[in-house]
Amino acid sequence: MTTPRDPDEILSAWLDEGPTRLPDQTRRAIGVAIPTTTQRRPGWTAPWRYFDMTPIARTALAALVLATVIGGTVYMLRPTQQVAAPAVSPSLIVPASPEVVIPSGVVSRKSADQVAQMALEEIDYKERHFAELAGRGVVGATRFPLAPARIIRIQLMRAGETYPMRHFDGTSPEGAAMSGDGGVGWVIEAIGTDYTEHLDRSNVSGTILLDSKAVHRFFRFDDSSPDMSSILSFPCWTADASFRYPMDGNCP
Amino acid sequence: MRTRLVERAKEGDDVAFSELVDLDGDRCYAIAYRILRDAERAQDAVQQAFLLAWRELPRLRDPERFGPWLHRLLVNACYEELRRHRRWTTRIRSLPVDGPGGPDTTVSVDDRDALDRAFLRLTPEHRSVFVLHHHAGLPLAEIADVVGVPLGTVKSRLHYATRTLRAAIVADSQVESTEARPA
Repeated sequence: MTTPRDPDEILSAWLDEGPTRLPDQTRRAIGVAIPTTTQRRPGWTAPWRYFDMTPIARTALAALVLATVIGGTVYMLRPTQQVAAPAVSPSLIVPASPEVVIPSGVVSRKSADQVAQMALEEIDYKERHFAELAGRGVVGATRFPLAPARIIRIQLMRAGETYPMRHFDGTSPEGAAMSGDGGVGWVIEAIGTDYTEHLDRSNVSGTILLDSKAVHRFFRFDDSSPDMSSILSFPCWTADASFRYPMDGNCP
Repeated sequence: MRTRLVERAKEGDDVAFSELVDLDGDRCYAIAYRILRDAERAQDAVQQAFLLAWRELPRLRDPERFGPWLHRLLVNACYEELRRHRRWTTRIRSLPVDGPGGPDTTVSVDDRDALDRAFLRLTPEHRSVFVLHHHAGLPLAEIADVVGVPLGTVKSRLHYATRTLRAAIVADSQVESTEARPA
C-alpha cells in the first residue's frame, strides 16, 4: 500500500534540492576580476539617451558614428591583418548593403538609422573594450577583431511577431527565434566580433581568459525600452583552438 | 544599505560591489543552478552576470532597481549558457549535494528522475519563470519586468511549466501503479 502523493509538495521539495551557497572560489574570482574591469560610463556611447539633442546634432552624431565604423572597418581590412578568415561557402547569400524591411501600417518610435547605429555602437563598444584588455595583456586578447562590423538586415517587427534566427545559408537547425516584449520592435542582423570572458577558476588569482569569435548577431530593440532589449548570436568561427563551444556556421 | 552600496559601486567603488556580491551571490547562484541544473555552468552564469553588472552599473539610472536588473542579467547569462551547451545536454542527471539543500525524502528517486527529465525538456524561458516564481518567490509582475515580457506571457509560461512538471510526477505514479499491480 502506498501513501497518497501530493504533486505540488513533491515539486516544491525537488526545487528546494541543490546548492544554495555560491562557492568561495567563485566569489574570490569575481572579487579579483572586478578591479581590473573598466566600468562603462554613460555619455560617450549613446548620448541621445541621456541628453536632449536637436535633430541636427543627432544627425551629425550619427554621421560621426558611421564614419568611425567605416573607418574602423577599412583599418581592420588592411593587408597586415594576421588572422585569416576561413573559406566561406559560395552558397551563402548576403546582400551587399543592408536590407531594410518596414511593413506598411507599422509605426515605431525609433528610426531604422537610429537602431542601426545603436547596434553598430554595441559592436564598436566590444572592440574598444577588447582593446583595453589587450593593452593589459589579458590572455587571448591578441585574436581580435575577427570580422569587420557590418549590418546585414534591419526589420521592423509587428506586435507579437517573432523573428526566426537563420544562418546565412538559410538553415535554422535549432529553430531559434527572437521574440520581443509583445509590442512593436526592431531586429537588426549584423556581423561583428565578440568575445566571452571566463574567469579561470583553477587559478586563484582570477585570471581572465577570452574566447574571441566572429559572430552573426541579432539585436532586438523594443519600442517600450529606450535601450537595446536583447542580443543573441551565432558564433561563426574562431582562431582559438581551445574555444569551448561549437560553431554554428560561417560568416561572410 | 543596499541602495547606498549600489550608489557607491556606481561611482567605481569595487569594495562596495564586493559587498553586493556577498549579499546577492548565494541567491543568484541558487537561481542559476535551478535554471541550469548544473553547478559549474551556474557558477559561470553568476560570474558573467556580476561582471556585466559591474561594467554596466554606471548606466543603471535607479539604484533601487538593482535587484530586478541583476536578476535580468542573471537570467540572460543562463540563457546564454543553455544556448552554448544545447547540443551537449541531451541528458543530464543532476546529483543534488548533501547538506541543507540536499536530497529531500519527500522526493523519490523515480520522481527526481522524472522531474529532471521533464525540466530539461522545458525551454529556458519556461524554466526561468518557474524558478523565479516557485523558488525565488518573485511576484509575477516583477518576473515580467525581469524577463522582459508581458504579465500574461509570464502567467502562461508558469502555467505550462507547472502543468508539465506535475504531469511528469503523475505519469511516474501511474507507471509505478501499473508495475505494482499483481499479474
